[in-house]
Amino acid sequence: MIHRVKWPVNAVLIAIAIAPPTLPGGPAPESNRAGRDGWSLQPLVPPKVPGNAPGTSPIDAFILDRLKAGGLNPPSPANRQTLIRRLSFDLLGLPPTPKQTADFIADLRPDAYERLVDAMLASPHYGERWARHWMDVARYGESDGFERDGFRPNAWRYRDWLIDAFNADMPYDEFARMQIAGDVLRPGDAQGVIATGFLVCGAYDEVGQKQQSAAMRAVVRQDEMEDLVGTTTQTFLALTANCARCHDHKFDPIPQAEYYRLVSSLAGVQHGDRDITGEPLKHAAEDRAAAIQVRIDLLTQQVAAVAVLNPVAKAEIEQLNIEIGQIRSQQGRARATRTYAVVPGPVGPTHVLRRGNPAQEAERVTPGGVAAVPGVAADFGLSDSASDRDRRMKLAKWLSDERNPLFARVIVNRLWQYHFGRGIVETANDFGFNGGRPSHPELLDWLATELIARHWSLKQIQRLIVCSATYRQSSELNAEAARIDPDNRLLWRQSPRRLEAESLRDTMLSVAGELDPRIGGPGYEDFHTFTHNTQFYEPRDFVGGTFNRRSVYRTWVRSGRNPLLDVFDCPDPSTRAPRRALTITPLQALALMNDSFVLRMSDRFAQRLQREAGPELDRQVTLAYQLAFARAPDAEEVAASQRIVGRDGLPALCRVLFNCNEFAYVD
Amino acid sequence: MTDSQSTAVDRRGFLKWSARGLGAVALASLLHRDALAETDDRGALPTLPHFAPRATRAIQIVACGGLSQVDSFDYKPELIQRHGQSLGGGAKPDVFFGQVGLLRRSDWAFKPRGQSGTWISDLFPNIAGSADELTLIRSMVADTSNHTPATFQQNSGFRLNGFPVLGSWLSYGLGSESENLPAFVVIPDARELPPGGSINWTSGFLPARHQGVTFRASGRAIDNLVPAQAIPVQAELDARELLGVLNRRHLLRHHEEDALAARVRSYELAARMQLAVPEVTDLEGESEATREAYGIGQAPTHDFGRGCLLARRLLERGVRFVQLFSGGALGSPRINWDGHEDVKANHGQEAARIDQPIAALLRDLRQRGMLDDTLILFTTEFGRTPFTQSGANTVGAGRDHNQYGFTNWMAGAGLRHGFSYGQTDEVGWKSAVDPVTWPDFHATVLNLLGLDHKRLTFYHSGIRRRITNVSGQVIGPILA
Repeated sequence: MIHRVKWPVNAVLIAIAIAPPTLPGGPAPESNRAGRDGWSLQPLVPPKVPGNAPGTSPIDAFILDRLKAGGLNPPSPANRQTLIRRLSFDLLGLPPTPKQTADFIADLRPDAYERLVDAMLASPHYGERWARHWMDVARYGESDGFERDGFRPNAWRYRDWLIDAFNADMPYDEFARMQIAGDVLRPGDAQGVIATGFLVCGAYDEVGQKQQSAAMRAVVRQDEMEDLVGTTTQTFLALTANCARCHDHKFDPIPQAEYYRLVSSLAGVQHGDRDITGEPLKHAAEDRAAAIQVRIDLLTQQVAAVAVLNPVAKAEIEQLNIEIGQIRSQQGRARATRTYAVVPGPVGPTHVLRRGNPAQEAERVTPGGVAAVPGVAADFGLSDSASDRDRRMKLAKWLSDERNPLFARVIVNRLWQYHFGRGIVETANDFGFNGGRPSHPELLDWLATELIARHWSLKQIQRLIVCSATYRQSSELNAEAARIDPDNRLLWRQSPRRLEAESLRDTMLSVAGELDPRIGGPGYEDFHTFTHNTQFYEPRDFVGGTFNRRSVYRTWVRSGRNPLLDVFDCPDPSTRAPRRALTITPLQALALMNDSFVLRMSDRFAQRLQREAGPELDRQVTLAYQLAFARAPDAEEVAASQRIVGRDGLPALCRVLFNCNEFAYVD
Repeated sequence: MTDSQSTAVDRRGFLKWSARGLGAVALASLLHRDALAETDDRGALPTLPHFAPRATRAIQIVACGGLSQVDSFDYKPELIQRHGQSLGGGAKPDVFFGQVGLLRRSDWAFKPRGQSGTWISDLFPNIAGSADELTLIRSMVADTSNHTPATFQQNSGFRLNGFPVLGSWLSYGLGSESENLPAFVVIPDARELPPGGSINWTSGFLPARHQGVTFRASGRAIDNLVPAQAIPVQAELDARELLGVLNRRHLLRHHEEDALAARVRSYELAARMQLAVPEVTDLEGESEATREAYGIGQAPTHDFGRGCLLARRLLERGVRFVQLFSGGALGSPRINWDGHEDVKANHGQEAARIDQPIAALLRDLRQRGMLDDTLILFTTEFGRTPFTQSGANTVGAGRDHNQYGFTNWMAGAGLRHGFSYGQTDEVGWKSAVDPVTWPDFHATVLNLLGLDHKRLTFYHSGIRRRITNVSGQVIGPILA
């Protein structure tokens, strides 16, 4: 198919994601809004598993049922090297090592795959991968945004809390409650305070909150409440309650008054650092600070050495000094016994505001939830003078009650989305009238009831998903199936997926043998920061050490985004990203061909090959393919690769491998 | 090789077939079935524009920090007469810093200009020379007098972080006319980025390819255009050749999967961009007379002159929307229009940087016939108070923020030229006749570009979002 291609798109730039939902089959709803009869507001009833395929897992039974009905064939399995690469990226966000791949292919035990799954679910890198997904939803950032974009040196503890919670398989209902009200549910436990970072990790308009005009301050506060209510209800319930700020929700059964009941529930939430001195901290910050000191000493020696050898090497010394400064900052942050979290503030009466305008107060409301959600009482039984403590505790319980059918449905849908590239419901943050309809409603409910039966263990649900034949099937394009179901909504194959920005960077580090695998601690600061009233963050590509940690440990300031990650669709930390956009652009090609980080990793990758494969070129080439693609090269590839190495050196080959489709895509 | 090679038996026939049908099928599976998500050759949504556009491209010049309307484009004789008096009226004005001094006349004389007799002050003597090209909107109102939320509102229609800006919406809706250049280019002030930095050109929840690409008017134009380490030409060619071979083999194993083929093409486009960007940013090819007209080579117009000339060259080559910032970060010393302390010194300094280049741009576009299908926008996030920011009984030198009344102007395609729309009250404090909101302004800009603001939408978290949120009225009287 030949297109006349113009930049920047057409087939060239493919935007999947976030687009308006489409319904597989079924007539369009006749009404232009949903009442309480909306599909997602129905109580959770364990669905009957189709029994027409004995011996298959329930997940596969649901999928096969629809495939058959659609005239499609059951899936064919992927081969083992494809499987281990897919599983490793999905669960850990990192590629398998050549040894892991070889061991798995050679493992003839019948449960070899399940053993691999269990090992990966137990890896500490699992939490890093899944925390990053959650950070997208939580609009996680480490600076204020708006005019001043002030730095939040103690925001990282919430990110670490997420990583630990995923690694420990914290029951999901507890995971949710901690993020809304951990400080009041677990008095005396620093982790409870840290968890509330969820509510306040969005942007904060410091200038607006401090301006002279009380009327304008009130508007800023109401904007902030809209963000809080929106993030909370979308994240846990896929309800867009924020749409009811100015009027009743136009599409879903959420009256304006209920929006303000939610505002009332969160009315005590203020931003700030909280002191956690004396409370037991899970991570020994001192250890980390000590390790950082070792690095500072090393760099200081380097500075001295450079100065002696070559007194004019000013640029190099400056670079080292900048890095020392950055690391010192991290050291201070590791030692600080503070965390950016909810600071409970005074709560007064909450009013409904006509047209959302703080100057037009209507009736008073008490804290509460959304009455259209069945199974749980929307009235929290609190007066309008209730404490912040009681408000958030009740809200946390209302959200996470197992009788609230949205709560379980929403999270299993997110898990599914991150394993298949698309949820059973395409709009992970919106299960309302405007959102998508489930492609497999019974499967969604089966997963939700299973999650509750398994005591809210996310890892157990993921284990069910990745062990299914549906997940393990090949990604091969089948012309007949593509004609019948071009969207692959029935899952007749796994969709090939491009690595996310962070995985792409982490994989280059890993393949080059440069990845610093330490878990947790203050993030690396890949920018030079200066203040000119506003705080500025100028991106810098610092070399080595702490800057070679996984991208999840980046310090995610709002105006200082990393250009390499940015260009690969890393979301704006100021906006909720329930599903990332996925684009293909020439700017990505320029970045992967020319960026200083990529070129440096190509050099290091080459050095590693020489180190580990010895002097023989064909062994170097073989190891290169095993590391980059989890497979050996064929004869033609060896010949072509040896040719370029002979002409342009080993780094030239490494650079090409980083740019290959096979490197960037997972089958 | 992977075991998918077993399918190679019938590859030739398969590919022949796929060239006819499967490619399109698979493409449809990757793009969304909803028509709005599919794009045509220009990267535009296929149903767009909604109607015949009056303009096909635009430049927006942003005066960062708050340009004083009563010192520039909003002539108020009564302010001269009432100099030194208090504003009077009811409650004390609710201004950002809370200090309300006495009314102050402008330090610049106003004169009727051109055949239209449009009143413009001597703050912009060169722009005033093109008064008959301009369409003033003198009754702008914003929702806030806080810089950053107001700047966000100017750019995206919303006071908050994270919403797509005008340029992103145009990139999403109309794509680029160029094969080699992005749809949306931002040229920041050479001194510094505006407050909020790259947040000001975010694509928000639109796909990342719609965010503004920053071009520097001097030095290295864009990042990563050339390798960070020097690579010999032959080695670069070798690398591309091997990459092509490996990707081609991978593509065959994957039955010409469209996303993979698209990625291969993106490398070809990148190579074309590597040629196009140095060409468009090379201002040395312009005549000496042109460079001089834009003020290049002379302080204080050099930087902005380069920006304006670059903007013209980008538009000529098919870029859809160029945003030029006049002014950087807030704070002291002032390098933007935020004249709290001394409007005369501050505005004098800033206007001297941009007046000649903007006038040159208007003339140049007119001479080249480009003003017939190009829209020029000159905007500021809010205006300034007609009274000074000082003690209650004094006439100070600075003015505070004013969200209630300020002036933007447009020029170019589809407009009534030499026309002034809307009025503030007799001293220029609040909009009094035909107030225009940012959603009205954005709706009008989209209309001029052939877009219905109510139909240019993108689904995000429960809402089909649009730049005008729930309001927006096209300003009919300013259209030609």
